[in-house]
Amino acid sequence: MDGHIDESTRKVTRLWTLAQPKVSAFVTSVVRDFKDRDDLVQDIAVAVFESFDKYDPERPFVQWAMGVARNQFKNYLRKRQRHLAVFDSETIEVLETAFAEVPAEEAHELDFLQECLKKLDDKGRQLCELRYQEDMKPAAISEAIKMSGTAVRKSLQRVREQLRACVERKVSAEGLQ
Amino acid sequence: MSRDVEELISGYLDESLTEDEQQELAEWIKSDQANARHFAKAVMLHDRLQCEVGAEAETRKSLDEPAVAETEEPKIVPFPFSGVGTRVLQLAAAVVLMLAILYWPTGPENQVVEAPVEPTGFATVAHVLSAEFENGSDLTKGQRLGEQTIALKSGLLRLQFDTGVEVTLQGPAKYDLLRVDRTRLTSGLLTADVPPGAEGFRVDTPTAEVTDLGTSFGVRFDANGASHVSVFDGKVEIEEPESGEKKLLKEGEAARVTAEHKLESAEFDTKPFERVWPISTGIVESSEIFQLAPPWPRRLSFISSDDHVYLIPDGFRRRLQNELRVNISEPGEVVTEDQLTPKTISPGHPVRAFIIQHQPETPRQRGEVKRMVGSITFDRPILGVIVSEEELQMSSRRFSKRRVRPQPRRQLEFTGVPAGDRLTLSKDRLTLTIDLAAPNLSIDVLRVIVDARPPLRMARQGMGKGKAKGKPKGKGKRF
Repeated sequence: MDGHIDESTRKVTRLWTLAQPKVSAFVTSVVRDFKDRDDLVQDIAVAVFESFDKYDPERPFVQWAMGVARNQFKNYLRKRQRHLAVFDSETIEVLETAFAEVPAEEAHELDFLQECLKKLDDKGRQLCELRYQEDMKPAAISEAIKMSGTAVRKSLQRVREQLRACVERKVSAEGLQ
Repeated sequence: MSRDVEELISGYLDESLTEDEQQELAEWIKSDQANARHFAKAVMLHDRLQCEVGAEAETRKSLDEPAVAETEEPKIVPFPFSGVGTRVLQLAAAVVLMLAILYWPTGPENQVVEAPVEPTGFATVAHVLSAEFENGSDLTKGQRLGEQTIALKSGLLRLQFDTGVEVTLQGPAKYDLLRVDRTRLTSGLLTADVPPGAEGFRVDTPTAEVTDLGTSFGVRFDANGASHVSVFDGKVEIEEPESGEKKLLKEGEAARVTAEHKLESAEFDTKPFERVWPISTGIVESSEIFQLAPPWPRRLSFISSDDHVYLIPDGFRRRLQNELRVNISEPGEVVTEDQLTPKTISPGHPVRAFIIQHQPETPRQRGEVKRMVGSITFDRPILGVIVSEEELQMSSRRFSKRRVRPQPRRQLEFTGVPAGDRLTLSKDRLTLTIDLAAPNLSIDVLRVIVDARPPLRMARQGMGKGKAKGKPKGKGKRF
């Protein structure tokens, strides 16, 4: 069937698939809230697809998509009439470049996260679930599991460090090719 | 400050920094592009972690404590009042009903088994479409297969291995079944969907060994003796057996082994596999308004079109760990809420889920009315349709591989008025007909739950005969 999926849709889909993790992380870095991120990434994806004819194939796609992301972020702030921005515009600009420059392999490396998550001890796993599945912040977590706020913050930091180290170990052991 | 930087970054991610600390972090980021990149890496991990944990935790839970009912359901989180405009998304008071697996003609529910009772073999023919076989070795739907060679002259054939792996073969092709986890393609093309738990499934060709690592992929062995592998989702390892050279391929990547035994990267191209998708997905026929979304990418929230309704495979075939509530379970037409036929599908039932989604691209003019009308026919019976917000929410965490994004959407409105929605499930449960009032700037979503037990032989089952009511009228696409 999919004579319906034309060449340009196929192309933009492929390019977007590769760029999306970076765009999503960029959005997280400026809005932080996962629900806000979800809404915004959706808007960005729509905009990327709609304005794909304006994309100059000579330029890196990620860079272009980041530009779209920045504009959508501005629209979003306006529309929501909420003060979502934590960083000033100069910082946001610096971040936009930084995310666009993250090599594709680094996004791929994170594929190991799934395996690394399995290696966490019970406590680490529980923290991950509370933080990332239930979307709870340290204050709420500390109440839920009777741990001090400082301890929760430190533990979350440690869990992420462990996962990072695990990913890096796997990358050097198994390689990405 | 360097000692504290990691702490600052971590605090930022967990939203526990004071304004001063945020300011301090911003200054650090701006002071050096290397700092910005370091920060970017940390956020990428954090962002990805959030995507992974939902899926991972869900799987683990069901492994640890199988078949515990309602308490196992993920927490229902109301949609944020967000998105386009000020649409307030209601958590509908879901009408909850039930339905058992009524179409099963021969026995009580506990007789429901995944594999037919025939003793031999390790795979079942799940669907046959316009297929011709060499030397009269015809295969029929429901037939059990063991170690053998399938020589398909033309047409399409879908197999279901007992491990849950599904392979769709496009003729002309020659395919050897060796073991439940080991196969060999000596000519032609196939796609494979390998569910979690069945990793390690192999498709070898005369020049390459292709090992699945949990995924959906396509393999082609062309007339020039080259093997091509494209990965739609997940990961696959391709190995050139003579040199032992290997390549790990990921979603959106492709590679080939040439007739000269050279392993090289190739451009990802899904075109050769497009004919296979509908049947590999289990679709027999659909009206023009339906588009089958390709098996990638997983995040499909951007799929929008004024004129099309998308059908999106929602994760792999799976066995229900807990009961699953559906809103429509009986054949017939639903135009008002009291015509809903809620039911619970029992744990243990193998199912496949699909999302039907309509998201217009352009806002409609005031007063403009547009309806999306069409039918879609599956090759296995529809067990239920989920239309209410609450059940959609609960089921999305169970089926979707990735976290489903909250998005502005509208549950269907069965108001019985001309502007309302209408769904019809055909008598044979194979065809769903939709007639939806197209929403403005929101998304219509429904989830269709289809039986994923391997079919029994037609003769015994007496299914698939007779005309489905509500077949698409006019021009339809037949696969």
